Amino acid sequence: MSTVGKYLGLFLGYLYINAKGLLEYKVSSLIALFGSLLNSAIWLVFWWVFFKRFPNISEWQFVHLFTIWAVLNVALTLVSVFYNVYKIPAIINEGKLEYYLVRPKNALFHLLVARMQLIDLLEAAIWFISFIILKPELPAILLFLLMSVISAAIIHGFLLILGSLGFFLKSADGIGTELYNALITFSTYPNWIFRGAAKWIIFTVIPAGFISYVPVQVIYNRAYLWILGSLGFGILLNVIGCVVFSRGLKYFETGNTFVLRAD
Amino acid sequence: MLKSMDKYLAAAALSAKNYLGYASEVIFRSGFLVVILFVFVNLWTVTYSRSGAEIIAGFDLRQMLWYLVFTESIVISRPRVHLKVEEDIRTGAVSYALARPYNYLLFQLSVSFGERMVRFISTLTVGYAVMTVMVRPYFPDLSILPFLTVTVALAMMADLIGMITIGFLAFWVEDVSPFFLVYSRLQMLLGGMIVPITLFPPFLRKLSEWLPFRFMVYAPAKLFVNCDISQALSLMAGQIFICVLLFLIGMSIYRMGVKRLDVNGG
Repeated sequence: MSTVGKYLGLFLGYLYINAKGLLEYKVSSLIALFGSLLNSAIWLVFWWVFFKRFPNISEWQFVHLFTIWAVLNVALTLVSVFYNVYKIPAIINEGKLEYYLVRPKNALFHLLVARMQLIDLLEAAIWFISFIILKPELPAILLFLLMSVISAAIIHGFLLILGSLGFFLKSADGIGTELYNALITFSTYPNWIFRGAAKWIIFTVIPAGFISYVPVQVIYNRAYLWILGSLGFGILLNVIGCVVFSRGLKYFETGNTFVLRAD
Repeated sequence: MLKSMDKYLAAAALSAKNYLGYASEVIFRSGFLVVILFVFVNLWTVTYSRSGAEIIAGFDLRQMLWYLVFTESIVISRPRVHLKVEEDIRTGAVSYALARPYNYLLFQLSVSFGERMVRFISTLTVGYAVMTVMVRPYFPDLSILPFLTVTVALAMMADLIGMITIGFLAFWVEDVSPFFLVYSRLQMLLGGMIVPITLFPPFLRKLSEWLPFRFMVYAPAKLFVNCDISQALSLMAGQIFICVLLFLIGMSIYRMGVKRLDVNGG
């Protein structure tokens, strides 16, 4: 079997195991889904009130805000397929990394696919259907899907870099959580509210502009060049993340805690 | 009556003293508050500037921003008392409280209130510092401070009684998180945490006025920026009514739950 085939087999194996786990904890999974949807709904009501009160505040309308929420949520659910990307610092610090290191597969790939939060895909479907109802045009739907996948790659790369810092910093978990929260918060607001240095920050250190501003530009203004820019940035973040992780592995020294099976 | 309240005051004071040890940690872990305040400053500065309005929903820009600092501080300072109550019920620890000479609801209220006051002051300090740097300092009228203190205390009590009451649902269900989620999200919107309720369209505003959440978040924050003593008195009356009402509902649910309590082992 080719290398790609072996890794695909590993991915499908974990997909099967995680799907079985999902059926085991149906109620708690559905509660988590309900919570996430309720939270988004409350914020969307806020934006609906905001645009009802200030309809001419910018060229953006409620539909644009809905779109960035939908793209962000679909992207986050896709990242949940590699759920351990959120847990890298904890995996390093709690002696769970060793399990992956002694396996014959690439440790990073194995670690990332070992835990999947598949209920989130149901949430992705709900957001996707909502977007179709809002904008039932095939080109817009395809662009929505494309931008969601690219946004997922950007979030994944961002998390991978932050998580891999756990090899070097003991406080990487806390710093990573703060920066991730900042990314998500900035991603749910229109870019035109930011001025000065903040405009640059959301396209560099905290790349929220690629998740909010860019999808709206691509879907509604057909600014196709932005697709290449976003895609390139997403790939760059993931490559940097892989490099930081592999450098970290060379720096890594195992402790006296050794967990036999961890995901 | 006052003597019987001594034990609850002592519990609140002890809890506050315990939590003072973590106050610096709360301050250093306020990254989210800084981010959200930064976003709010940007959003409302642009909104006021582009709409050309001096006053929106009864607030000028400075009042709006300080209002949001206050609402965020109130909500972020909330301890997870509903989970503590849920754990006590699930593990059977609540049965020990039955034999003790205190009211379980009031005891949990005292402990969580002491913790919350410390967390609130720490969070507000961070918010105040951030807003002073980003906008400019704000000095509320000193004459309003005693009223503000009482109003904030009553707002927190009402909220904590609501949370403890949600915890009591653990007598019937294993996990109370979904109920708290609905409660907290309704409070976020209809309590006026993310936007003053005066900005709402009529039907949402009406809904907000019918629910107790505005007494927990909107009203004390409005008093902080408005400094209107005549409003403070009617507000406090409303808050006391809500506290008593929630307490009675909470105690009814607790009594119903305790009748179902079945503890195994020793």
